Amino acid sequence: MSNVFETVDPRGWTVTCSEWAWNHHVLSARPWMAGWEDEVKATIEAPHMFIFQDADWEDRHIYYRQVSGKNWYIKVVVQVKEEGLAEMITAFRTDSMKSGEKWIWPISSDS
Amino acid sequence: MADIERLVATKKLKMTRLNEAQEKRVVSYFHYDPMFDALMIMFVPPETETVVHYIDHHVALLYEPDTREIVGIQVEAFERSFLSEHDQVRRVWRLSDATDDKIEDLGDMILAIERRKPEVAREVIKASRDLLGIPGEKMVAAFASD
Repeated sequence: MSNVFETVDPRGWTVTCSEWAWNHHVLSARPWMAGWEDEVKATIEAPHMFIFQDADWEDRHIYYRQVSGKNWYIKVVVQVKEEGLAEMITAFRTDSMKSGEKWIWPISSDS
Repeated sequence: MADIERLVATKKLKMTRLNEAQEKRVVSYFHYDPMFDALMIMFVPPETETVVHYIDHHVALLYEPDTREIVGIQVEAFERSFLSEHDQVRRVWRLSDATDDKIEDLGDMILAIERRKPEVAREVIKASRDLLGIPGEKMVAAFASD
């Protein structure tokens, strides 16, 4: 199965997006996101300040990036496969983060 | 604590299309992603661009970015935790609880699924009504006509 993209996030983690994931988890729900691959990739590469852990799944990480001039973020959810490797499972537009998401990067000096 | 600024307040979302949906037969779009575990219910076609507006850790409103018109809802962690908190939704979601669906072949299963979709949509919206406030009340009315 080929990848739509493979990239590296600010932690140095490799994140892949397979064609199957793009078609079945993004476009099947939001067909208007066709052509948004580069925007989603850019969100992983340069998220807005932080990377978060999902509110319900410890092995899912989340990136947000505000699109310039717009009142929304692109949100990307990835599934951790192993330390340093994750796979995208969905992406969509949102105007806020979800309650319960936990900040995991950069690591707080308090931890 | 790290946080991402909320960019659009709930009170800025509009309900004109929701009001219109109450007055005519709603054709709902129903999509469940089992890997992400999220259910989307909309009264507009899936080609409609949307923004997710979280209300709590399960339920979000979906709205059009240009008009800010509410067009549906998204429920996350649907099977993981939402169902366990809402018995009526779980009852219509589980095919094994269906006593009136006789499933003997693939055709029966497809029919059962299509019959269940609007039921699930109605129960999910009813379960979210109090959380959503006025939009929830309007959605209950809109999807009651489906």
